[in-house]
Amino acid sequence: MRSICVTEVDLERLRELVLVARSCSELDQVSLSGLQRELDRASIISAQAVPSEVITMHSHVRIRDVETSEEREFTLVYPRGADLEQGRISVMAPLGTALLGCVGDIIESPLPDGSMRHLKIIAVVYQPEAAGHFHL
Amino acid sequence: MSTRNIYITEADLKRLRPLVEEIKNSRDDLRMLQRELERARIVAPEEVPPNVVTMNSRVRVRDVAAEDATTYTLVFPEEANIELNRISVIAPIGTAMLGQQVGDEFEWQVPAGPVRLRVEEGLYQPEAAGHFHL
Repeated sequence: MRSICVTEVDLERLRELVLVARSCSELDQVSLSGLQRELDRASIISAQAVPSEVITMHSHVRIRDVETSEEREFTLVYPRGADLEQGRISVMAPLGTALLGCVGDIIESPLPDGSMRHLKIIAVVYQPEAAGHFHL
Repeated sequence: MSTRNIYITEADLKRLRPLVEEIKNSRDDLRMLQRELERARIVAPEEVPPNVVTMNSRVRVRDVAAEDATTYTLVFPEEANIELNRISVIAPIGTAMLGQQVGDEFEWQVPAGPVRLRVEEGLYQPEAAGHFHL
């Protein structure tokens, strides 16, 4: 393979690009394998047949931290729609992946320090399929 | 992660699977660009030959087998616009084009197999035009 030619200035900007993109995709990589594992082991059902207590995409849930009793509400969204301040959590985030497909149980979600946090799903406040919103 | 059964609707699965694939592909693209940067010969902008494809260069590229030519501008991802033939350097064809010289042939890996392309003509190179700010 012949050598290609790149200017110093282009190299500097391209290296930066690779670094930024890689640090993003390394984060993605962790959650990607988690999400893929969940997709592989899930029971697949039609949107019309899904029980109303299952957390589907765009579902709005209330959860309680078992240790601290703190309660929070989240909407499970695709990465583009994520906004943590508004409780819109990406399905690619560890907590989002953990919520997907669950039915009113206690789930485990890893914290950045590696410890596990236990969260009890108290209620599915809104589920698009139960509300007949099949377009979401 | 829990081993309990979870439920996903067919409709959600249909959107989630391509999402996973898309992110995997962009990871592979990035790796390819990094490999190219590692093997590249690095020169000062003032010294780059005018027939080399640098960032923001515009070149006519010919499909060797099909004999049709397309004009592309090689850009950073945020400026990419496929309809205007502004190709991101992270896209496989953009990575393949980077650093080639007029007359060089290179391979573009597409799902159907490699396509052989030739840099037929350099229409614009920022360095040759003295546009070192680009």
